[in-house]
Amino acid sequence: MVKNPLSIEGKTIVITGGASGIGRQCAIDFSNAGANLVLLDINEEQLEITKGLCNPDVRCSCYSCDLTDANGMGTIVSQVVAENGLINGMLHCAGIEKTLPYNKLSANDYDRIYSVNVVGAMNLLKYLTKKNNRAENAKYVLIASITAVVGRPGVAAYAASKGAIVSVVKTLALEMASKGMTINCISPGTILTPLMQNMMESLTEEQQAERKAGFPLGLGHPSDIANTAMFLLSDGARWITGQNIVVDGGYTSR
Amino acid sequence: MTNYNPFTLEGKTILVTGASSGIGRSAAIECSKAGAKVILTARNEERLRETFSLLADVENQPAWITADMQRDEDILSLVEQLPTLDGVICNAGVSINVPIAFIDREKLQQVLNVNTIAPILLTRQLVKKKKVRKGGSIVFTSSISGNNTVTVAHEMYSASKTAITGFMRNAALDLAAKGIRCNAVHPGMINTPMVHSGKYSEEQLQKDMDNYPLHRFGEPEEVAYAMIYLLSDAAAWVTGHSLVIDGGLTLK
Repeated sequence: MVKNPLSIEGKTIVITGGASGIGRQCAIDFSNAGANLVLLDINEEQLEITKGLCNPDVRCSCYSCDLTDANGMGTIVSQVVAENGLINGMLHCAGIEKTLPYNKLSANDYDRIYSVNVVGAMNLLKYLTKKNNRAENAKYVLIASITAVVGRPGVAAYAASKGAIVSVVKTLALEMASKGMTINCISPGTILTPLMQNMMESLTEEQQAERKAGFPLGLGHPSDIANTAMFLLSDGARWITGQNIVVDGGYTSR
Repeated sequence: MTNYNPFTLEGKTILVTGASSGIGRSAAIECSKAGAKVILTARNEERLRETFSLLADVENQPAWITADMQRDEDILSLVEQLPTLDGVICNAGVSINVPIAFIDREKLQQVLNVNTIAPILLTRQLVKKKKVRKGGSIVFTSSISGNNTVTVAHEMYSASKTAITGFMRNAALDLAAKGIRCNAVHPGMINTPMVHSGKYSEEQLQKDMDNYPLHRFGEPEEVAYAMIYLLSDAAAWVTGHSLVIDGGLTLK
């Protein structure tokens, strides 16, 4: 049997935000595809639950970690590499949002959201991409959002942070290219994470229809994002870099 | 068991146009390795036969169908002969690069016929005859040319490739109701016979290559892998997307 070029089997992948939502599903799917996992999240308890859902045939190490703690990041990454070996890839799923009209958002809201969604990933990449920490041709994927590409009222701070992801990936791709690394981002549309599912159930039928409107293929599932991330982290995607892959059931192509 | 593979094409039947060389040939071979039954089509029977011989599990592959996509009767007859498909790669392409002053109707028609009109008419016929299954996926080989970058003397090629991307985006919306997805790949310069046909000097090619952040052209398989992703159920929620595969060229 020829080796599947789109496989991540045997690779060691760091996932941020592994305690819930898209991050959790990515961990589960990646483990079933044979990747060894390093899960980072601030919520240690939920992180252990994710670990319990992962395939027991791969190594899965959990680290409680605050991505916004720039000073502590070097130590965490050193520990991760010492205990798991060189890192083949990283997927940044950790993200927070606050839905408020722009004139109700405070400077502090912008700071908090930007520090997790953007700076958190940069803190981590700064250390992960060091020569002694990464495997050859390491690949990185950051989760952005379709709100980086199209407007949606009420998510100013979130959209700004996700737009920053789409921009920064282009610059990082050029800086990393000479060292054989690639970096891309994924812009999901509305994904039925457990949190979103609960939210949807609390809505009236009319509100639900409004939320689903504009998605020609319906709403997405966390595995839709995991699959695309898996492709971008595989060797098959080695000539793709700096891109924003939109996974949205056709929402933005309308 | 850790054998989860969302990219498998097992059980899928895929039509590949322009399968006699370059990206099309590579796409056909890689799709067959991913488990697909691949139906090859192109004009040149001899080279189709050669691609066919390179397919994985060749004894179980369906026969190729020769067709000239510039002829309506060939498109009709091709589609008539096809089984229900899970995927289509509209890949056949041609490039004629001349300065604007040297553009004429004949050259322009040739480029548009092959790169734009043929894939549109093929898609039309496939849809009309309900040859693409619900959940099926159509992938168009477009280009970074015109869509993501511009180059002197590539006007006709750019026009044809932006047109097919425009068609793809509308078709994605139109066919979503039937559960059929449409996406495009936008490759940069790929090491294919088209690139090394003597049209460009080796010196020019080296200069172009140095311009790529990853310092090389792409390989046909690297486009094929992206096509496999788009054809597979891994991309079940991806439609209307243009996937740029260019080693970072158009970021600068």
